[in-house]
Amino acid sequence: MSDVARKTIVVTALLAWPLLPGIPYDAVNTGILAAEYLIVALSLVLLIGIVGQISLCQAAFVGIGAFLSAIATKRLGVPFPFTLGVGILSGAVAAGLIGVVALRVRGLYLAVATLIFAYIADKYLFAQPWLVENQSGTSIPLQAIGRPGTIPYFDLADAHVFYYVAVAVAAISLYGVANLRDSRVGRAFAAVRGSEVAAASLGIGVTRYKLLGFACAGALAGLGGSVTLIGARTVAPTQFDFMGSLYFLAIAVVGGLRSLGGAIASALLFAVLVGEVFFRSPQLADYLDVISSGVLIVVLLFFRGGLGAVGERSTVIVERLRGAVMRALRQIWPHRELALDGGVTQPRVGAPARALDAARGWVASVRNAVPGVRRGHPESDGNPSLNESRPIDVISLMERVGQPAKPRTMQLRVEHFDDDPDDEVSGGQDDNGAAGRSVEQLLTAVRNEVVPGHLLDGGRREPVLLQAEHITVRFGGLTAVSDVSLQVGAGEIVGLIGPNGAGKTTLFNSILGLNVPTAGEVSLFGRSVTDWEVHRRAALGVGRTFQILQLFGDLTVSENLLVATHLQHKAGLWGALAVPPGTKRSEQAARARVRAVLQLMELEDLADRKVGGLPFGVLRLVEVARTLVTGARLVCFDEPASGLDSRETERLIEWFRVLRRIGITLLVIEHDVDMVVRLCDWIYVLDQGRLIADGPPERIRRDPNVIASYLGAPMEVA
Amino acid sequence: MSRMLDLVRRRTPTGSIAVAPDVDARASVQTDTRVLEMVLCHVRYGLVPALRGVSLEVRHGEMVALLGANGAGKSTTLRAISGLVHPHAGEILVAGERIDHLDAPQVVRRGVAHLPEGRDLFPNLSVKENLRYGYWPRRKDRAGYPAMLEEILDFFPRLRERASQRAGTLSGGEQQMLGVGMALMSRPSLLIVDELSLGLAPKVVAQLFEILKIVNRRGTSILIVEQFVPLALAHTDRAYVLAKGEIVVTKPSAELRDDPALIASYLGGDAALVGEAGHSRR
Amino acid sequence: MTNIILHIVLSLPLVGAYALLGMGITVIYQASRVLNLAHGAMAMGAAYACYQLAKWGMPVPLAVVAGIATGALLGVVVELLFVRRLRSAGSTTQTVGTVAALTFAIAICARVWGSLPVTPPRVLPSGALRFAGGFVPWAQFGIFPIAIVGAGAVFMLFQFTDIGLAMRGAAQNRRGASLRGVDPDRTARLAWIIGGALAGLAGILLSGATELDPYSVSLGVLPAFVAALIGGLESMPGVCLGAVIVGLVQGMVPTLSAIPQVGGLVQQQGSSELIVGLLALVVMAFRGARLVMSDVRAEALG
Repeated sequence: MSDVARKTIVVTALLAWPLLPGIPYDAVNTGILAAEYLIVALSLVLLIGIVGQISLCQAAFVGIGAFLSAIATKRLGVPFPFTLGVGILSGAVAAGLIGVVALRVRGLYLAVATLIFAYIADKYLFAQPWLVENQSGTSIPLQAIGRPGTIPYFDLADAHVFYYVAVAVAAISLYGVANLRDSRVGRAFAAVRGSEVAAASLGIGVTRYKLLGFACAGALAGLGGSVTLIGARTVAPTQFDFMGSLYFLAIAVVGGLRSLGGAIASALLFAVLVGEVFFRSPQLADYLDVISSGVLIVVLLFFRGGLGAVGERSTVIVERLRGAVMRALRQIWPHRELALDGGVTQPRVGAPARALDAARGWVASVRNAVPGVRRGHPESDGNPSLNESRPIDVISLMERVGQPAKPRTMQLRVEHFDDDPDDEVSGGQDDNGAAGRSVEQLLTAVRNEVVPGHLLDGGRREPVLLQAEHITVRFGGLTAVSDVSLQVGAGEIVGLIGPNGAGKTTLFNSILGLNVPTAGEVSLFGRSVTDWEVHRRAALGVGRTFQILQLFGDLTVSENLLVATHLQHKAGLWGALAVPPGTKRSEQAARARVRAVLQLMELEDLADRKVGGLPFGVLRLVEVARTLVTGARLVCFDEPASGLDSRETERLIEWFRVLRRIGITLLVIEHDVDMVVRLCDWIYVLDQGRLIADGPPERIRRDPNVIASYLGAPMEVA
Repeated sequence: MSRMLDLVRRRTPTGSIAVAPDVDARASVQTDTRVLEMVLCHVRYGLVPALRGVSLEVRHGEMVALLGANGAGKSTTLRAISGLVHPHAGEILVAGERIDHLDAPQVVRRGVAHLPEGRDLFPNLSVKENLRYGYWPRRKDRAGYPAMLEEILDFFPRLRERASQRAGTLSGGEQQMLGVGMALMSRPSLLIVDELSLGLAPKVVAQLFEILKIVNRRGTSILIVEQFVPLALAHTDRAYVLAKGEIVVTKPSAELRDDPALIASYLGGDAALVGEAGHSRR
Repeated sequence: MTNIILHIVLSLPLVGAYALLGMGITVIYQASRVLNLAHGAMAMGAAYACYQLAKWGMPVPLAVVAGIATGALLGVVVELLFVRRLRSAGSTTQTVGTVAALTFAIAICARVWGSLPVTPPRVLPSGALRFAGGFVPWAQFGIFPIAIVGAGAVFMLFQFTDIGLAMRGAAQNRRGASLRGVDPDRTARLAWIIGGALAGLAGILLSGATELDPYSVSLGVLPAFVAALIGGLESMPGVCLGAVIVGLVQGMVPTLSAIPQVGGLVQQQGSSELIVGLLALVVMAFRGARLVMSDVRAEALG
């Protein structure tokens, strides 16, 4: 069944069922209830599932939306469709205020802050006569579109009419959230949820997006309040107390918090429970709270994916069945290739192994082909000027390279991560030079690229991209970095080494904006950025990787890279919700960019794999790829070799050389001296917060201070 | 036996720590009893293999070094011994008893004290409270506590001076002393120490190693992980070298010390660096 | 003036109850790094157990002990089901778990005992303390000395016993504790037992002074969270100070209505709750900054 056909059926069913003969009036009310639940559940899915912030006061936002809509209707005479706007606005503002608190506190504390807001709303706000008429609530007069006797006339008190209104509002909300999730804004939300530091390093303003997330969720909740008010024409404070918040939370958690389908199923489930089961029998009605909280507990303890996971699980089961059938078929007709084209039976474990093999071949040839980095070569023409923001353009690079002619060989063969060093070369040749060919092409292109900047007499290069002067960082009484100066020129690979606890990471954080140095100044691309936030520095063209991987674990490889296109296009909230053509175009451009980088780094096979289960060595490359997508001209690597074995380290070193030839300047923190000595043009050595040496590698490895700090030479041996 | 005696001769204390002259407890014990045996252990973190079939042993009274480059699996080996991670294949025996299925608190009761890297203290407790914490496995023996505390405070006069200070306010070296003291409070038969020297001044590290040697001479077997290779080799009887989760070298420390090329090839260091450092100490 | 003193005295029972609850919240937070939003449910469960047993004819002192034990038991159950089991899912899920426990407990109690208030047994002697021209019933005032004794006992346990030391250490450094032979899961369970018992005691005393219904006790512990936050969720004396501040604010706000200008504001319904809530948000904004700082610091040094 095609997608369109399926959608048509769903929509027709939604529209037609209340009109069927024999449908009781109450059932239509249940439908309305489901739509209202869905809107509020979506607000929680957005806030908790997408932005990763918790709220225990959602009912308060719903209530604020409802009561302010009522005031707008009664006192200001706002007509129907605009009442919804009032709800949206008031919910957004209230939630935005809580969002301000969320900027200061995280996790548990945020939970308490929202709890306290629920408490204040419950005990104070909803008890105020200016907001709520009396303790039994607020009522509004009849809402209608048009006037009686004219056409069009819709009486919103008629459940049949209001059903369509509620379903339409819910459908638009669903459409908006679904679009939002797959948009630039949605990816920024996901990044904030996954890792705030990583998000900021990709140029995402964490503050802004947290506030935006709260405001959007509040807007949906307020909208839910408005709809509730108009449907019932009267709302009472007890609907929006703390227990109400927990009830809405239960609906969202049972839905699974991540999946929109789950939210729909859960909203339906609760609406049917309330409307059809419990209200029909007074004995059962007493058990509503017990059952709903019991369902919440069961889902939390035994089925954490909620109803949303039901769909996923059944897909997995279907796929497994299909795989089993295909395998059986292949045994019967061993020569048929049909099974392999489907891709279903393709062994999952093969993908990373293939990529590794390909990459190994790549490295072997890169190593032979890249002549040692030529120094003192006149390369000064075509220098990008300092302030001209020219991001590294992988797409045009890939265009020159052409499509890699890697055949998609699908033979099933036993793949393994072998440990025999001799295999390294032959592993590349196994792929009958296919990967190698694309590498050749890439290298031709890379060879024509110029290393930016030009060499000075002392062995350094200019223009200087990064200048850190007399940096001192103190935490309380502890001086982590003391009067350290460092510079990185365009086209250099600069190393920063030192034993554990030497202050490398602290200095690095000052450069990137994670701490403000007690004294000293940091300049990037010629601008003083000492007190700039991380994401503003990122926007200048600074990328980074993390010692402890900061990939977004529940996203796929290509989604991880898509997050990094944040700075490359500018779709805002409206674009994210409604997807106008302009947004669509820039979205396509972003995806093309990601595809190019995936091709360049031979990660296409893994594009749709969740990052969570991939081998560590591959993930390091994904992080490198992510910095490539940002188009950063200066990339800082924090202990890139940690956790890699010696061959993976070799591969990384080759990658670094390629990056430099693409035009990227590198700053590498390491405590593996050997790697830094081989890789870098210039090395800074820190020990106990002080700079004890700097110079070209040959000089550093003979420096007595460095030897002492690394090997403890002054130690007297008994 | 003659090797033992030779070692003892070499190990005459030269440090500045105030300790009564020791009787060498090691010479009087059979040297062949194995305090620790680790047989073909495999450990994984998620999908990432950290140890691939590690076998090693520590005999009674020995001081053994475990060396290796970053990420070779040294700390994982120690974590497996003390029960912080469980091997998914292989056996670990302490004094002949299988312990690989036990959790850390139970392993401690069997006489293994693990001092992990990064000075694993209780920063908000006082020095004395930290030491009391170390006495937990023996807490039933209330009468024995004062004597044990005195013994440790005699051992570390610096800690006596700071007995009521919060542990978090001590200097790095003092914290490491406290860590050793805390581990010794349970009178372990095997002490395993991870990166004793981390972030400490060389002089302090030298003192700490002297202390470990005295502890060792009093009968506690010791297994250390150390990134300053020459230092570790100078103080231990035997050494294992780990690379990518496997034991690649097992040699008496003295032999290994004379082979800088071997060290360099497995420890990922620069042969020249190790060599120069090696020369500078002779 | 005497009016103010009288109000202070009248606030003391609240101070005592908040101190007991806040200490429980802190002890539990230290052991499991979870904010136990089900704390009120533990207090409520204990109060209902005491009520029911006394109704069945059990002597009141025994019923009180059994009620406190119920609170402790509820602590164990919540820890086992929603904290230990959900540990791998992260602290947000654990918090949602305690919320689920809270709603379930409220729903069950409302089902069994109805949502209307019942009158639990009087735990404290009848009669009143004559004070500053007013009468303070012992049923209320008695909460304060009992709370002081309870809080003192817990403080001594933590400060001066081996097991208390083990719990303090395990709260700071789980791995370090287990390497010294202390099982942090067991100390955590003990913390929940203590927290549950303290909550039970507070619930029984509070409901004994007034009435018992499923909502007021279980949701009324929020000021105790504020007290615990003021103590930074770590310091026992800090929690007690927090309880004094919160209790006095709640008790004193009505007296402010005598002041001409402010009077109108504080006479609004819920104004004392508003003040407590705002106080909490301010404290968190203040503490929150410190927490974020310590995060960054750990990152920088790590």
